Amino acid sequence: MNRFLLLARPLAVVGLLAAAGVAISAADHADSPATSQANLDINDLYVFNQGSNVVFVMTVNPLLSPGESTNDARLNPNGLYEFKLDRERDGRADAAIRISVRGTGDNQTIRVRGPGPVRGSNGAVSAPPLDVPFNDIGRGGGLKAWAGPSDDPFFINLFGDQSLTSVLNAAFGGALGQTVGDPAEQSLSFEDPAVDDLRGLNVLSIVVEAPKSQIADALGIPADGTFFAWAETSELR
Amino acid sequence: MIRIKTTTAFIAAFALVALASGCESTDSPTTPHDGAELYPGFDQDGGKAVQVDRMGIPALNTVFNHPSGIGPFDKKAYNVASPADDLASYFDVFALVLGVVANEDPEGTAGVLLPDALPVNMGAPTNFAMLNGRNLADDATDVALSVVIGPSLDFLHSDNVDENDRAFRSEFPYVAPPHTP
Repeated sequence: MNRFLLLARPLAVVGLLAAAGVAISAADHADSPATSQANLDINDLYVFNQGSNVVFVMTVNPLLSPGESTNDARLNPNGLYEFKLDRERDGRADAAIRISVRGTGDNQTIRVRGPGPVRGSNGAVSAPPLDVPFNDIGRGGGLKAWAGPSDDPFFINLFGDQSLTSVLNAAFGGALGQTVGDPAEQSLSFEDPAVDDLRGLNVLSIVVEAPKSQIADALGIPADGTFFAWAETSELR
Repeated sequence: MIRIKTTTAFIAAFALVALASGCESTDSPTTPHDGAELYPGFDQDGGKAVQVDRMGIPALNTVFNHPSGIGPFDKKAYNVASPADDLASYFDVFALVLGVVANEDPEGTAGVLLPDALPVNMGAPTNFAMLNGRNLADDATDVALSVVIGPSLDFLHSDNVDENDRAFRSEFPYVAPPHTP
């Protein structure tokens, strides 16, 4: 299919938009979570091997400007932040690392539990908790944990006349009357070279590093085994 | 050419992972979502923990959730859904969208991408292009565009931004320090 045929087909246009939405949501920033609380809005999930450990990173609270917005940002004291771990890829968590939050402002601390089975004897993560002040590094029980402001690790060509926005508008604006960002930006191509439109912006990050052996034990898999992960936020109501 | 190879490797790698974990079934488990489970210390006031957002494979979370909200493409519904229901809820939509962007194997790719959970092989190098975890520096946008959009539209396989604006730290917590005014 060439680009002209693509533009001539509304269905294709819907698909293209959705595909481009992929990239926007790769940064998944402000993607309409079921809450008004930006600090429960997940931007990105990263999980990587680090020697004998695995590192879990969840970023929330998109598009924080440097300065006051960043300095004042905290996690949600009514929030639960979880790394869910699934052994069989059936979409049901078998183990989790759970981060709850206490307090606000300068008195905020996070409490990290796990990795532990989701369905233990009392249906709970069983490992002893690790309490860490916001923006401090905590160590205990083999874990390292930190939550605080960071640069947004995501990078993307999102705005401008040859960007994801322009691609969306070029594909979608004419056929279905839907535009995003600046409707005047229309081009079915990406600028080359392009700039990172998230440069200079911050987020809140939650980082937990856990031994592979603990993850393996929690899941009942070998220490060189495979699991399936997602990040999840919940709100206490 | 490199990107096409990457896409193939990505799907092949995932297919192997899927086979190894015995997840070929497309049935739809209907057990209650465990995201609403409570645990001691969280349920301090007798309230309920209600899921508000989720994310597994980068770039998939809102593949089908565009601004118009047409048809089944409901952003909020996806964010509060359980991955256990993804195949039942989203397989057909994923396959449809993949087909119209000239993906060469819409159903196969949809089956590779759902349920929306990031595979992590603790015994192999992390590389999102191989669908094994995700490094901070991995170019998730390009991988996603390449996997979803077919080779005939390969001029849309890269957004031409290849790296972060700030170097990542080599030590915990790895993310880069926040920008200051």
